[in-house]
Amino acid sequence: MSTEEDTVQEKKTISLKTSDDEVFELEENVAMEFGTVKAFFGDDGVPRDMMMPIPNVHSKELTRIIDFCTKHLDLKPKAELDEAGKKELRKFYKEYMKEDTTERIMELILAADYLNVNDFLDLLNQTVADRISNKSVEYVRKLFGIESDYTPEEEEALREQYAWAFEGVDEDPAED
Amino acid sequence: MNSQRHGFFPDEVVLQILSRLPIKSLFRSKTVCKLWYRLVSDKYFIQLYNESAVKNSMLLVEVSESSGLKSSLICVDDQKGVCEFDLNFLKDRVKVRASCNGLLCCSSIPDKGVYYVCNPMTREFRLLPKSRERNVTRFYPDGEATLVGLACNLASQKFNVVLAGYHRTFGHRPDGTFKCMIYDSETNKWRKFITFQDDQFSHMHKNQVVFVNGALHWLTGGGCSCILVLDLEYDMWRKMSLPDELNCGMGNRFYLLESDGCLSVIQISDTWMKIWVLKDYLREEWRLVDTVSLRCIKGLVPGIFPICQTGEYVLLATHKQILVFHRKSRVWKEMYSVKNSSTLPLWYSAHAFRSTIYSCH
Repeated sequence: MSTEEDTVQEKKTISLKTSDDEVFELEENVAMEFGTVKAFFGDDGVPRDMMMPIPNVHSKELTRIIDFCTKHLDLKPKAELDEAGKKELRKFYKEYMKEDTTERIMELILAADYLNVNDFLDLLNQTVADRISNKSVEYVRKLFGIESDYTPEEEEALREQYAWAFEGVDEDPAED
Repeated sequence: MNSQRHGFFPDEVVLQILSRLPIKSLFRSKTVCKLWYRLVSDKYFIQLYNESAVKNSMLLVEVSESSGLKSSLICVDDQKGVCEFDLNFLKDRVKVRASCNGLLCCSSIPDKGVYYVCNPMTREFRLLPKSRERNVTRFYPDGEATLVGLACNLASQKFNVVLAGYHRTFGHRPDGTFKCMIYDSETNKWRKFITFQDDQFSHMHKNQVVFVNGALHWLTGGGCSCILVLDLEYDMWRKMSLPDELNCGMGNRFYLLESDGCLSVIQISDTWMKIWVLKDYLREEWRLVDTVSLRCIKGLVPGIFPICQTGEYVLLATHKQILVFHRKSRVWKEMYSVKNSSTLPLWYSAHAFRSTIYSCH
Protein backbone atom coordinates (compact mmCIF):
# COMPACT_ATOMS: atom_id res chain seq x y z
CA MET A 1 0.00 0.00 0.00
CA SER A 2 1.40 3.40 -0.89
CA THR A 3 1.25 6.26 1.53
CA GLU A 4 -0.42 8.38 -1.13
CA GLU A 5 -3.53 6.20 -0.96
CA ASP A 6 -3.62 6.43 2.80
CA THR A 7 -3.68 10.22 2.89
CA VAL A 8 -6.14 10.68 -0.02
CA GLN A 9 -8.70 8.14 1.28
CA GLU A 10 -9.25 9.65 4.70
CA LYS A 11 -13.04 9.73 4.41
CA LYS A 12 -13.96 6.71 2.35
CA THR A 13 -16.75 7.72 0.03
CA ILE A 14 -18.23 6.32 -3.12
CA SER A 15 -19.70 8.47 -5.90
CA LEU A 16 -22.86 7.53 -7.73
CA LYS A 17 -24.40 9.40 -10.68
CA THR A 18 -28.15 9.08 -11.09
CA SER A 19 -30.35 9.14 -14.19
CA ASP A 20 -31.00 12.87 -13.72
CA ASP A 21 -27.25 13.57 -13.63
CA GLU A 22 -27.00 14.22 -9.94
CA VAL A 23 -23.87 13.01 -8.18
CA PHE A 24 -24.18 11.54 -4.72
CA GLU A 25 -21.28 10.91 -2.40
CA LEU A 26 -21.99 8.18 0.09
CA GLU A 27 -19.99 6.74 2.91
CA GLU A 28 -18.47 3.49 1.74
CA ASN A 29 -20.21 1.30 4.31
CA VAL A 30 -23.61 2.61 3.22
CA ALA A 31 -22.78 2.23 -0.47
CA MET A 32 -21.70 -1.35 0.07
CA GLU A 33 -25.25 -2.18 1.21
CA PHE A 34 -26.10 -1.86 -2.47
CA GLY A 35 -25.33 -5.26 -4.00
CA THR A 36 -24.86 -3.71 -7.43
CA VAL A 37 -22.31 -1.21 -6.13
CA LYS A 38 -20.50 -3.90 -4.17
CA ALA A 39 -20.25 -6.05 -7.27
CA PHE A 40 -19.14 -3.12 -9.41
CA PHE A 41 -16.16 -2.23 -7.23
CA GLY A 42 -15.51 -5.78 -6.22
CA ASP A 43 -12.38 -7.02 -4.60
CA ASP A 44 -10.12 -6.57 -7.53
CA GLY A 45 -9.17 -3.46 -9.14
CA VAL A 46 -11.91 -0.92 -9.82
CA PRO A 47 -10.61 2.13 -7.99
CA ARG A 48 -12.96 3.37 -5.30
CA ASP A 49 -12.64 6.95 -6.42
CA MET A 50 -14.23 6.17 -9.78
CA MET A 51 -17.75 7.45 -10.20
CA MET A 52 -20.32 4.74 -10.80
CA PRO A 53 -23.22 5.57 -13.10
CA ILE A 54 -26.65 4.27 -12.06
CA PRO A 55 -28.75 5.33 -15.06
CA ASN A 56 -31.87 3.41 -13.93
CA VAL A 57 -32.21 5.27 -10.66
CA HIS A 58 -33.55 8.77 -10.16
CA SER A 59 -32.11 11.00 -7.43
CA LYS A 60 -35.46 11.02 -5.67
CA GLU A 61 -35.33 7.24 -5.15
CA LEU A 62 -31.65 7.20 -4.31
CA THR A 63 -32.10 9.78 -1.56
CA ARG A 64 -34.69 7.56 0.08
CA ILE A 65 -32.66 4.40 -0.30
CA ILE A 66 -29.64 6.07 1.28
CA ASP A 67 -31.85 7.27 4.12
CA PHE A 68 -33.10 3.72 4.77
CA CYS A 69 -29.66 2.14 4.64
CA THR A 70 -28.11 4.70 6.96
CA LYS A 71 -30.83 4.25 9.58
CA HIS A 72 -30.89 0.49 9.12
CA LEU A 73 -27.10 0.18 9.51
CA ASP A 74 -27.41 1.98 12.81
CA LEU A 75 -30.27 -0.11 14.19
CA LYS A 76 -29.28 -3.57 13.02
CA PRO A 77 -26.29 -4.17 15.33
CA LYS A 78 -28.29 -2.87 18.28
CA ALA A 79 -31.02 -5.42 17.49
CA GLU A 80 -28.48 -8.24 17.71
CA LEU A 81 -27.52 -7.11 21.22
CA ASP A 82 -30.76 -7.13 23.18
CA GLU A 83 -34.58 -7.18 23.23
CA ALA A 84 -34.84 -3.40 23.35
CA GLY A 85 -32.79 -3.14 20.17
CA LYS A 86 -34.98 -5.77 18.50
CA LYS A 87 -38.09 -3.86 19.49
CA GLU A 88 -36.69 -0.65 18.04
CA LEU A 89 -35.86 -2.34 14.75
CA ARG A 90 -39.36 -3.85 14.53
CA LYS A 91 -40.85 -0.41 15.18
CA PHE A 92 -38.64 1.08 12.48
CA TYR A 93 -39.86 -1.50 9.97
CA LYS A 94 -43.44 -0.87 10.96
CA GLU A 95 -43.34 2.90 10.65
CA TYR A 96 -40.88 3.56 7.85
CA MET A 97 -43.23 3.08 4.90
CA LYS A 98 -46.39 4.33 6.56
CA GLU A 99 -46.68 7.65 4.77
CA ASP A 100 -45.81 6.45 1.30
CA THR A 101 -48.36 5.87 -1.42
CA THR A 102 -48.38 2.43 -2.94
CA GLU A 103 -47.32 3.93 -6.26
CA ARG A 104 -44.29 5.49 -4.58
CA ILE A 105 -43.42 2.15 -3.05
CA MET A 106 -43.52 0.52 -6.47
CA GLU A 107 -41.06 3.13 -7.78
CA LEU A 108 -38.78 2.42 -4.84
CA ILE A 109 -39.01 -1.31 -5.49
CA LEU A 110 -37.76 -0.88 -9.03
CA ALA A 111 -34.82 1.23 -7.82
CA ALA A 112 -33.99 -1.03 -4.88
CA ASP A 113 -34.22 -4.07 -7.12
CA TYR A 114 -31.81 -2.52 -9.62
CA LEU A 115 -29.39 -1.55 -6.87
CA ASN A 116 -29.86 -4.89 -5.13
CA VAL A 117 -30.59 -3.47 -1.70
CA ASN A 118 -31.99 -6.64 -0.12
CA ASP A 119 -33.04 -5.42 3.31
CA PHE A 120 -34.97 -2.49 1.86
CA LEU A 121 -36.49 -4.74 -0.82
CA ASP A 122 -37.76 -7.14 1.83
CA LEU A 123 -39.51 -4.30 3.63
CA LEU A 124 -40.91 -2.83 0.42
CA ASN A 125 -42.18 -6.21 -0.81
CA GLN A 126 -43.78 -6.95 2.53
CA THR A 127 -45.43 -3.52 2.55
CA VAL A 128 -46.95 -4.05 -0.88
CA ALA A 129 -48.06 -7.55 0.07
CA ASP A 130 -49.76 -6.17 3.19
CA ARG A 131 -51.48 -3.52 1.11
CA ILE A 132 -52.83 -5.84 -1.56
CA SER A 133 -53.68 -8.57 0.87
CA ASN A 134 -57.45 -9.02 0.88
CA LYS A 135 -58.06 -6.50 -1.88
CA SER A 136 -60.05 -7.18 -5.01
CA VAL A 137 -58.50 -8.52 -8.19
CA GLU A 138 -59.46 -5.35 -10.05
CA TYR A 139 -57.63 -3.23 -7.51
CA VAL A 140 -54.51 -5.33 -7.83
CA ARG A 141 -54.61 -5.17 -11.63
CA LYS A 142 -54.91 -1.39 -11.54
CA LEU A 143 -52.04 -1.06 -9.10
CA PHE A 144 -49.66 -3.19 -11.12
CA GLY A 145 -50.85 -1.81 -14.44
CA ILE A 146 -51.86 -5.24 -15.62
CA GLU A 147 -54.51 -5.97 -18.19
CA SER A 148 -56.16 -9.31 -17.77
CA ASP A 149 -55.66 -11.75 -20.63
CA TYR A 150 -58.45 -14.07 -19.48
CA THR A 151 -61.62 -14.33 -21.49
CA PRO A 152 -64.75 -13.59 -19.45
CA GLU A 153 -65.59 -17.31 -19.51
CA GLU A 154 -62.13 -18.30 -18.29
CA GLU A 155 -62.27 -15.78 -15.49
CA GLU A 156 -65.73 -16.90 -14.44
CA ALA A 157 -64.59 -20.51 -14.34
CA LEU A 158 -61.60 -19.63 -12.17
CA ARG A 159 -63.70 -17.59 -9.79
CA GLU A 160 -66.02 -20.53 -9.40
CA GLN A 161 -63.17 -22.95 -8.84
CA TYR A 162 -61.71 -20.75 -6.12
CA ALA A 163 -64.97 -19.36 -4.77
CA TRP A 164 -63.72 -19.77 -1.21
CA ALA A 165 -60.88 -17.35 -1.91
CA PHE A 166 -63.32 -14.61 -2.92
CA GLU A 167 -65.24 -14.57 0.33
CA GLY A 168 -64.79 -11.59 2.60
CA VAL A 169 -62.72 -9.35 0.33
CA ASP A 170 -62.19 -5.77 1.52
CA GLU A 171 -63.77 -2.89 -0.32
CA ASP A 172 -61.35 -1.16 -2.65
CA PRO A 173 -59.70 1.78 -0.85
CA ALA A 174 -60.01 5.37 -2.13
CA GLU A 175 -57.38 6.43 -4.62
CA ASP A 176 -54.04 6.83 -2.89
CA MET B 1 -47.70 11.67 -10.90
CA ASN B 2 -44.96 9.55 -12.32
CA SER B 3 -46.07 8.53 -15.77
CA GLN B 4 -44.09 5.30 -15.66
CA ARG B 5 -46.59 2.46 -15.47
CA HIS B 6 -45.69 -0.69 -13.68
CA GLY B 7 -47.00 -3.07 -16.25
CA PHE B 8 -43.47 -4.28 -16.33
CA PHE B 9 -42.33 -5.53 -12.99
CA PRO B 10 -39.63 -8.18 -13.04
CA ASP B 11 -41.08 -11.63 -12.32
CA GLU B 12 -38.79 -12.12 -9.32
CA VAL B 13 -40.23 -9.04 -7.68
CA VAL B 14 -43.80 -10.22 -8.31
CA LEU B 15 -42.87 -13.61 -6.85
CA GLN B 16 -41.41 -11.99 -3.76
CA ILE B 17 -44.56 -9.98 -3.18
CA LEU B 18 -46.87 -12.91 -3.84
CA SER B 19 -44.87 -15.19 -1.55
CA ARG B 20 -45.81 -12.89 1.31
CA LEU B 21 -49.54 -13.04 0.77
CA PRO B 22 -51.92 -15.05 2.94
CA ILE B 23 -53.39 -18.06 1.16
CA LYS B 24 -56.79 -16.62 0.21
CA SER B 25 -55.24 -13.53 -1.36
CA LEU B 26 -52.66 -15.70 -3.06
CA PHE B 27 -55.27 -17.86 -4.75
CA ARG B 28 -57.30 -14.82 -5.75
CA SER B 29 -54.20 -13.44 -7.44
CA LYS B 30 -54.30 -16.40 -9.83
CA THR B 31 -57.17 -14.60 -11.58
CA VAL B 32 -55.23 -11.34 -12.10
CA CYS B 33 -53.70 -12.55 -15.35
CA LYS B 34 -52.33 -15.72 -16.91
CA LEU B 35 -48.73 -14.89 -16.05
CA TRP B 36 -49.58 -14.62 -12.38
CA TYR B 37 -51.48 -17.91 -12.58
CA ARG B 38 -48.35 -19.59 -13.90
CA LEU B 39 -46.11 -17.90 -11.34
CA VAL B 40 -48.24 -19.00 -8.40
CA SER B 41 -48.68 -22.54 -9.69
CA ASP B 42 -44.99 -22.99 -10.28
CA LYS B 43 -43.41 -25.78 -8.27
CA TYR B 44 -40.48 -23.59 -7.25
CA PHE B 45 -42.82 -20.90 -5.97
CA ILE B 46 -44.86 -23.41 -3.98
CA GLN B 47 -41.70 -24.71 -2.36
CA LEU B 48 -40.54 -21.16 -1.58
CA TYR B 49 -43.90 -20.29 -0.08
CA ASN B 50 -44.19 -23.45 1.98
CA GLU B 51 -40.66 -23.29 3.38
CA SER B 52 -41.57 -19.99 4.95
CA ALA B 53 -45.10 -21.04 5.91
CA VAL B 54 -44.02 -24.12 7.88
CA LYS B 55 -42.12 -22.03 10.38
CA ASN B 56 -45.42 -21.23 12.02
CA SER B 57 -46.78 -24.13 14.07
CA MET B 58 -50.51 -24.15 14.82
CA LEU B 59 -52.90 -26.36 16.72
CA LEU B 60 -55.85 -27.97 14.99
CA VAL B 61 -58.63 -29.45 17.05
CA GLU B 62 -62.12 -30.76 16.59
CA VAL B 63 -64.77 -29.06 18.68
CA SER B 64 -68.24 -30.43 19.00
CA GLU B 65 -71.50 -28.92 20.11
CA SER B 66 -72.94 -30.22 23.35
CA SER B 67 -75.43 -32.33 21.44
CA GLY B 68 -72.47 -34.10 19.89
CA LEU B 69 -74.16 -33.90 16.52
CA LYS B 70 -72.22 -31.13 14.89
CA SER B 71 -68.51 -30.71 14.94
CA SER B 72 -66.15 -28.29 13.32
CA LEU B 73 -62.46 -27.66 13.31
CA ILE B 74 -60.68 -24.76 14.87
CA CYS B 75 -57.14 -23.68 14.23
CA VAL B 76 -55.20 -21.85 16.91
CA ASP B 77 -52.38 -19.61 15.76
CA ASP B 78 -50.10 -17.98 18.32
CA GLN B 79 -50.27 -14.62 16.59
CA LYS B 80 -53.55 -14.63 14.72
CA GLY B 81 -55.69 -16.32 17.34
CA VAL B 82 -58.48 -18.74 16.64
CA CYS B 83 -60.19 -19.35 13.35
CA GLU B 84 -62.85 -21.85 12.46
CA PHE B 85 -63.14 -23.92 9.35
CA ASP B 86 -64.62 -27.15 8.15
CA LEU B 87 -63.93 -30.07 5.87
CA ASN B 88 -67.37 -30.01 4.25
CA PHE B 89 -65.73 -29.81 0.83
CA LEU B 90 -64.95 -33.50 1.25
CA LYS B 91 -68.69 -34.21 1.17
CA ASP B 92 -68.24 -36.90 3.80
CA ARG B 93 -68.14 -37.16 7.58
CA VAL B 94 -64.49 -37.60 8.49
CA LYS B 95 -62.09 -37.86 11.35
CA VAL B 96 -58.66 -36.26 11.12
CA ARG B 97 -56.07 -38.98 11.59
CA ALA B 98 -52.76 -37.26 10.76
CA SER B 99 -51.39 -33.85 9.83
CA CYS B 100 -48.17 -32.95 8.04
CA ASN B 101 -46.85 -29.76 6.44
CA GLY B 102 -50.28 -28.42 5.61
CA LEU B 103 -52.03 -31.61 4.51
CA LEU B 104 -54.44 -33.68 6.56
CA CYS B 105 -55.15 -37.37 6.28
CA CYS B 106 -58.76 -38.10 7.18
CA SER B 107 -60.71 -41.32 7.45
CA SER B 108 -64.36 -41.55 6.54
CA ILE B 109 -66.62 -42.23 9.48
CA PRO B 110 -69.44 -43.96 7.63
CA ASP B 111 -67.17 -45.78 5.14
CA LYS B 112 -64.50 -47.73 6.93
CA GLY B 113 -61.29 -48.02 4.98
CA VAL B 114 -61.90 -44.85 2.97
CA TYR B 115 -59.20 -42.23 3.35
CA TYR B 116 -58.72 -38.71 2.04
CA VAL B 117 -55.71 -36.45 1.92
CA CYS B 118 -56.64 -32.79 1.80
CA ASN B 119 -55.35 -29.28 2.23
CA PRO B 120 -57.98 -27.55 4.37
CA MET B 121 -56.72 -24.09 3.36
CA THR B 122 -56.91 -24.52 -0.40
CA ARG B 123 -59.72 -27.10 -0.29
CA GLU B 124 -57.87 -29.43 -2.62
CA PHE B 125 -58.32 -33.07 -1.81
CA ARG B 126 -57.51 -36.50 -3.06
CA LEU B 127 -59.60 -39.58 -2.34
CA LEU B 128 -57.11 -42.37 -1.86
CA PRO B 129 -57.71 -45.53 -3.83
CA LYS B 130 -58.89 -48.42 -1.72
CA SER B 131 -55.99 -50.72 -1.14
CA ARG B 132 -56.63 -53.97 -2.92
CA GLU B 133 -56.39 -55.72 0.37
CA ARG B 134 -59.84 -56.62 1.52
CA ASN B 135 -58.57 -56.81 5.01
CA VAL B 136 -57.68 -53.16 5.38
CA THR B 137 -60.44 -53.42 7.93
CA ARG B 138 -58.91 -56.51 9.50
CA PHE B 139 -56.59 -54.54 11.65
CA TYR B 140 -56.77 -55.57 15.25
CA PRO B 141 -58.37 -54.71 17.61
CA ASP B 142 -61.06 -52.52 16.15
CA GLY B 143 -60.73 -52.83 12.42
CA GLU B 144 -58.93 -49.54 12.22
CA ALA B 145 -55.23 -49.07 11.64
CA THR B 146 -53.33 -48.61 14.88
CA LEU B 147 -50.97 -46.11 13.40
CA VAL B 148 -51.82 -43.58 10.72
CA GLY B 149 -49.03 -41.43 9.38
CA LEU B 150 -48.75 -38.75 6.72
CA ALA B 151 -45.39 -37.83 5.29
CA CYS B 152 -45.29 -34.72 3.09
CA ASN B 153 -41.94 -34.00 1.56
CA LEU B 154 -41.66 -30.25 0.99
CA ALA B 155 -38.96 -30.40 -1.63
CA SER B 156 -40.32 -33.15 -3.86
CA GLN B 157 -43.96 -32.27 -3.10
CA LYS B 158 -44.80 -35.96 -2.99
CA PHE B 159 -46.48 -37.53 0.00
CA ASN B 160 -47.02 -40.91 1.61
CA VAL B 161 -49.81 -42.20 3.80
CA VAL B 162 -49.01 -45.03 6.18
CA LEU B 163 -51.55 -47.37 7.74
CA ALA B 164 -49.99 -49.83 10.13
CA GLY B 165 -51.27 -52.20 12.72
CA TYR B 166 -51.57 -55.65 14.08
CA HIS B 167 -53.16 -58.02 11.75
CA ARG B 168 -55.48 -60.81 12.50
CA THR B 169 -56.46 -63.32 9.89
CA PHE B 170 -60.09 -64.21 9.91
CA GLY B 171 -61.08 -66.50 12.73
CA HIS B 172 -57.67 -66.38 14.45
CA ARG B 173 -56.17 -64.51 17.35
CA PRO B 174 -53.63 -61.76 16.61
CA ASP B 175 -50.17 -63.20 16.13
CA GLY B 176 -47.75 -60.32 16.41
CA THR B 177 -47.87 -59.71 12.69
CA PHE B 178 -47.46 -56.01 12.10
CA LYS B 179 -48.75 -55.01 8.73
CA CYS B 180 -47.68 -51.77 7.16
CA MET B 181 -49.36 -50.28 4.12
CA ILE B 182 -47.83 -47.31 2.39
CA TYR B 183 -49.53 -45.11 -0.17
CA ASP B 184 -47.35 -43.28 -2.67
CA SER B 185 -48.83 -40.10 -4.14
CA GLU B 186 -46.67 -40.31 -7.24
CA THR B 187 -47.76 -43.79 -8.29
CA ASN B 188 -51.20 -43.48 -6.67
CA LYS B 189 -50.74 -46.99 -5.35
CA TRP B 190 -50.44 -48.83 -2.07
CA ARG B 191 -47.65 -51.22 -1.22
CA LYS B 192 -47.32 -53.35 1.88
CA PHE B 193 -44.78 -55.12 3.97
CA ILE B 194 -45.02 -57.19 7.09
CA THR B 195 -42.85 -57.39 10.18
CA PHE B 196 -43.12 -58.97 13.57
CA GLN B 197 -43.13 -56.64 16.47
CA ASP B 198 -44.78 -56.10 19.76
CA ASP B 199 -45.21 -52.44 20.57
CA GLN B 200 -47.97 -50.72 22.43
CA PHE B 201 -49.23 -47.22 21.83
CA SER B 202 -51.35 -44.92 23.95
CA HIS B 203 -54.01 -42.76 22.29
CA MET B 204 -51.85 -39.64 22.38
CA HIS B 205 -48.86 -41.54 21.04
CA LYS B 206 -50.88 -42.70 18.07
CA ASN B 207 -51.97 -39.15 17.30
CA GLN B 208 -48.54 -37.64 17.64
CA VAL B 209 -46.63 -38.82 14.63
CA VAL B 210 -43.68 -36.68 13.54
CA PHE B 211 -42.22 -36.54 10.04
CA VAL B 212 -38.58 -35.41 9.95
CA ASN B 213 -35.50 -36.58 8.07
CA GLY B 214 -37.60 -38.59 5.62
CA ALA B 215 -39.05 -40.84 8.31
CA LEU B 216 -42.17 -41.10 10.45
CA HIS B 217 -41.75 -41.33 14.20
CA TRP B 218 -44.05 -42.53 16.99
CA LEU B 219 -43.51 -42.96 20.71
CA THR B 220 -44.09 -46.44 22.00
CA GLY B 221 -45.61 -47.04 25.41
CA GLY B 222 -45.34 -49.88 27.81
CA GLY B 223 -42.48 -50.46 30.20
CA CYS B 224 -39.54 -49.45 28.10
CA SER B 225 -40.41 -46.56 25.89
CA CYS B 226 -38.56 -45.63 22.77
CA ILE B 227 -39.23 -44.08 19.39
CA LEU B 228 -40.50 -46.30 16.62
CA VAL B 229 -39.28 -45.09 13.25
CA LEU B 230 -40.57 -45.93 9.80
CA ASP B 231 -37.94 -45.18 7.23
CA LEU B 232 -39.88 -44.45 4.06
CA GLU B 233 -36.95 -44.76 1.73
CA TYR B 234 -36.18 -48.35 2.68
CA ASP B 235 -39.54 -49.50 4.06
CA MET B 236 -37.94 -50.43 7.33
CA TRP B 237 -38.88 -50.10 10.96
CA ARG B 238 -36.20 -49.23 13.47
CA LYS B 239 -35.98 -47.81 16.95
CA MET B 240 -34.40 -44.73 18.44
CA SER B 241 -33.78 -44.13 22.09
CA LEU B 242 -35.15 -41.34 24.20
CA PRO B 243 -32.93 -38.98 26.20
CA ASP B 244 -31.02 -40.93 28.85
CA GLU B 245 -32.17 -38.64 31.61
CA LEU B 246 -35.83 -39.20 30.95
CA ASN B 247 -37.02 -41.13 33.92
CA CYS B 248 -39.92 -43.39 33.20
CA GLY B 249 -41.05 -43.17 36.78
CA MET B 250 -44.57 -42.73 38.02
CA GLY B 251 -46.17 -39.38 37.38
CA ASN B 252 -43.92 -38.71 34.44
CA ARG B 253 -45.42 -38.71 31.04
CA PHE B 254 -43.87 -37.68 27.79
CA TYR B 255 -44.91 -36.80 24.28
CA LEU B 256 -43.30 -36.67 20.88
CA LEU B 257 -43.45 -33.39 18.98
CA GLU B 258 -41.52 -31.56 16.32
CA SER B 259 -39.44 -28.48 17.01
CA ASP B 260 -38.50 -26.51 13.89
CA GLY B 261 -37.64 -29.59 11.89
CA CYS B 262 -36.13 -31.63 14.73
CA LEU B 263 -37.60 -34.39 16.88
CA SER B 264 -38.54 -33.21 20.33
CA VAL B 265 -39.79 -34.88 23.47
CA ILE B 266 -41.73 -32.98 26.10
CA GLN B 267 -41.84 -34.48 29.57
CA ILE B 268 -44.48 -33.45 32.08
CA SER B 269 -44.28 -34.16 35.79
CA ASP B 270 -46.31 -32.63 38.60
CA THR B 271 -44.28 -29.46 38.70
CA TRP B 272 -42.09 -29.30 35.64
CA MET B 273 -42.29 -29.43 31.90
CA LYS B 274 -39.01 -30.34 30.23
CA ILE B 275 -38.33 -29.89 26.55
CA TRP B 276 -35.78 -32.06 24.81
CA VAL B 277 -34.69 -31.58 21.23
CA LEU B 278 -32.79 -34.09 19.13
CA LYS B 279 -29.97 -31.88 17.96
CA ASP B 280 -28.01 -34.54 16.13
CA TYR B 281 -30.32 -37.02 14.42
CA LEU B 282 -27.69 -39.46 13.20
CA ARG B 283 -25.80 -39.56 16.50
CA GLU B 284 -29.08 -39.55 18.48
CA GLU B 285 -27.87 -36.69 20.66
CA TRP B 286 -30.61 -35.09 22.71
CA ARG B 287 -30.36 -31.75 24.39
CA LEU B 288 -32.50 -30.42 27.22
CA VAL B 289 -33.43 -26.98 25.91
CA ASP B 290 -35.90 -25.80 28.52
CA THR B 291 -37.24 -26.58 31.96
CA VAL B 292 -40.53 -24.86 32.64
CA SER B 293 -42.14 -24.55 36.03
CA LEU B 294 -45.79 -25.54 36.00
CA ARG B 295 -46.58 -23.73 39.21
CA CYS B 296 -48.90 -21.15 37.69
CA ILE B 297 -51.06 -23.73 35.93
CA LYS B 298 -50.93 -26.14 38.84
CA GLY B 299 -54.58 -27.16 38.70
CA LEU B 300 -54.39 -28.02 35.02
CA VAL B 301 -51.29 -30.17 35.12
CA PRO B 302 -52.84 -33.63 35.36
CA GLY B 303 -54.88 -33.07 32.21
CA ILE B 304 -52.57 -31.00 30.04
CA PHE B 305 -50.98 -32.27 26.84
CA PRO B 306 -48.40 -30.52 24.64
CA ILE B 307 -49.49 -30.60 21.00
CA CYS B 308 -47.09 -28.48 18.95
CA GLN B 309 -44.27 -25.99 19.32
CA THR B 310 -41.63 -23.83 17.73
CA GLY B 311 -38.43 -22.56 19.33
CA GLU B 312 -40.47 -19.67 20.71
CA TYR B 313 -43.69 -21.19 22.08
CA VAL B 314 -45.52 -24.37 23.02
CA LEU B 315 -49.25 -24.93 22.37
CA LEU B 316 -50.99 -27.27 24.80
CA ALA B 317 -54.49 -28.67 25.19
CA THR B 318 -56.50 -29.66 28.23
CA HIS B 319 -60.01 -31.01 28.45
CA LYS B 320 -61.56 -27.64 27.69
CA GLN B 321 -58.77 -25.19 26.92
CA ILE B 322 -55.95 -24.41 24.54
CA LEU B 323 -52.99 -22.70 26.18
CA VAL B 324 -49.79 -21.20 24.83
CA PHE B 325 -46.52 -20.84 26.69
CA HIS B 326 -44.03 -18.28 25.40
CA ARG B 327 -40.53 -19.43 26.21
CA LYS B 328 -38.80 -16.04 26.13
CA SER B 329 -41.23 -14.14 28.31
CA ARG B 330 -42.19 -17.25 30.36
CA VAL B 331 -45.83 -16.26 30.08
CA TRP B 332 -48.84 -18.60 29.86
CA LYS B 333 -51.92 -17.48 27.95
CA GLU B 334 -55.28 -19.02 27.28
CA MET B 335 -55.99 -19.02 23.54
CA TYR B 336 -59.34 -20.80 23.51
CA SER B 337 -61.80 -22.37 25.84
CA VAL B 338 -64.83 -24.52 25.18
CA LYS B 339 -68.13 -22.80 25.85
CA ASN B 340 -70.31 -25.80 26.51
CA SER B 341 -69.77 -29.17 28.05
CA SER B 342 -68.25 -31.08 25.19
CA THR B 343 -68.31 -34.79 24.94
CA LEU B 344 -64.65 -35.34 24.21
CA PRO B 345 -61.66 -33.52 25.69
CA LEU B 346 -59.89 -31.15 23.32
CA TRP B 347 -56.59 -32.97 23.63
CA TYR B 348 -58.21 -36.12 22.32
CA SER B 349 -58.41 -34.80 18.76
CA ALA B 350 -55.73 -32.14 18.71
CA HIS B 351 -53.06 -32.16 16.02
CA ALA B 352 -50.07 -30.03 15.11
CA PHE B 353 -50.85 -28.15 11.92
CA ARG B 354 -49.23 -25.79 9.43
CA SER B 355 -50.95 -23.67 6.86
CA THR B 356 -49.30 -24.21 3.48
CA ILE B 357 -50.25 -24.38 -0.18
CA TYR B 358 -48.98 -27.94 -0.44
CA SER B 359 -50.94 -29.50 -3.24
CA CYS B 360 -52.38 -32.99 -3.12
CA HIS B 361 -52.84 -33.22 -6.88
